[in-house]
Amino acid sequence: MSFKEEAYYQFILEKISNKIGEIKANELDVNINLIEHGILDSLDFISMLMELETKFGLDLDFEDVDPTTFTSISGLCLLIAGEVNATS
Amino acid sequence: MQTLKSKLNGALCKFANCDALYVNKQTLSYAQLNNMSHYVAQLLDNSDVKSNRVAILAHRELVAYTTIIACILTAKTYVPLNIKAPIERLVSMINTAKINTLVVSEKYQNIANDIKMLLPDIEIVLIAEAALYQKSQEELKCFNKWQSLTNSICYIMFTSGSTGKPKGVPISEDNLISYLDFVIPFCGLSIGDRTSQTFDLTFDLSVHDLFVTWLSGACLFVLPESALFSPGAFIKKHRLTAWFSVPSTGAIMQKFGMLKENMYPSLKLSLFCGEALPTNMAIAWQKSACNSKVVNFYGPTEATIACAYFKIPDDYSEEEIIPIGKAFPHMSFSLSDNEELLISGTQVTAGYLESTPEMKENFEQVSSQDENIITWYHSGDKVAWHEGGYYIYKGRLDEQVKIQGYRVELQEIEILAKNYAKNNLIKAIVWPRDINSFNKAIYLFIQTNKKEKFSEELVEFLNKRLPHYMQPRKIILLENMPLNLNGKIDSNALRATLE
Repeated sequence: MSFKEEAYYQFILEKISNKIGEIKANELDVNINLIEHGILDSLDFISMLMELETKFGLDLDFEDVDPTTFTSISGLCLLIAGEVNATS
Repeated sequence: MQTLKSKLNGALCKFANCDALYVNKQTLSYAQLNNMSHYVAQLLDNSDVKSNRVAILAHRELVAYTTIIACILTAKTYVPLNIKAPIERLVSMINTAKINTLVVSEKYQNIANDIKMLLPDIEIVLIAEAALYQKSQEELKCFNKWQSLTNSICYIMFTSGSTGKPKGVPISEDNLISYLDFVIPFCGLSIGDRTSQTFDLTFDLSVHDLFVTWLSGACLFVLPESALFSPGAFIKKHRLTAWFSVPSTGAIMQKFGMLKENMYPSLKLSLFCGEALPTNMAIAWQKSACNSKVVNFYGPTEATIACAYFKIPDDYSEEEIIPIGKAFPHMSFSLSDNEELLISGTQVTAGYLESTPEMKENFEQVSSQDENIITWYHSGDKVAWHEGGYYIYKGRLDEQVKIQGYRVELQEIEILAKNYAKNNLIKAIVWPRDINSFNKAIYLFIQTNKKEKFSEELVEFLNKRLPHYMQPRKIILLENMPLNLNGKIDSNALRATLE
């Protein structure tokens, strides 16, 4: 199943839509680095991570995670999928 | 006294074979950095320069670092521009600082072109990274013609202004050398040390990173934008030995599992500055960076980077708050009747650019007993003296707030919004109120009976004029603004609506 059917994907897309508009958000390449491309700044990104934690009951841990692996939509979905599986 | 130019020149030659800079996955030696910077210096010299001030439009890339060195070597003033700031704000800064030359990297040419449309007389110097690498191998020619040049102003930084316009703070070479002469021995770095560069160049704490590192023979590691909120892996991979960031970065690391015990044994010095340092984070940091001393720095941009320090003792208790500490030995602090911290000494700027009488009031001239004139800078910070021999921060006397260490005058946002909305019932607040929260943002409340479209248009208007950290996270339209008994807008009632 594609991550695009997951609730967290919809949630992430909604947050990005708030920033750049729905049309642009839907056209966005899911693999680009949201921060390096200036779509979200680090403050937006952190606030989104915290909302994701609250909404999906997660406790994210980035001890050894290279941030470039989860600053894209696909990377973030992958990270959350792993967390969701680990906690369920 | 040795000039900054001669100190830097000396370091670039003395440490020639050592690593100087790691940026975008490339490591450069002092010799390479020297060659590149001399190339940039030549470009600046050959260009049709009418002013001695150079704006820099580059972000976490080689062009920015080599241009700063080039400015120092040729006695020019550098003015870093925020690549995320709206064009109108950049143009206003360029005008205020009377800049005629703009150095731009290939990445931000479009911003430079937009600026050129509005300021046709500005000279744009485009520097390609490939050209820098090509020059890094060439043998350095000596440029004696620069040796006699002297510069009074080293850099200009802009901070939020309550009058609705950013304030330009010029820092002289004497200001900066006073800072470095104390802080370099204090940090005790040398060849082989690896230091962090977390701050944007538009934030004056970055000046510490550059010059403390290079004058010590250490290597500066520039964190990529996306590593800034998750730097744990970067610190480990590059075995950094010295860290300097805003406390928010540490708080984010604590929140996301990056401050576990003994995680960063390579660190031996950790500095924090720019906002209040939460005790529980500092203690977690100390346990995580188990071999590091942890120091809180304090100081406004007007007094050059930092002017007070407090080393956190090993056995510090969670219950105690972390003081801003005591003044650097060459600086003086004093308290006004309303507990405002006054700062004087060799690090205090001579005054703002395009200073209005109101802005001049921040610098009070007092005759001393021996009839010298002493300038006391009014910091706007409320502090208390503690018998332990240090000052404790108690809050602001005005409405200035800090967002990730950036100074924000809420009035600056309100004035813009009031002008746009032609309405005075507007209030900007910061939330959550807890000074230790790293998720703080600005919320703008407006009394209006206009509909949602108005809010969208206002967002667009503000985003065109304010840098990202000053843009409201949310605009809230109210039919009735809550007022307190004095008829003023009731901020507490507004805050309560966000809880």
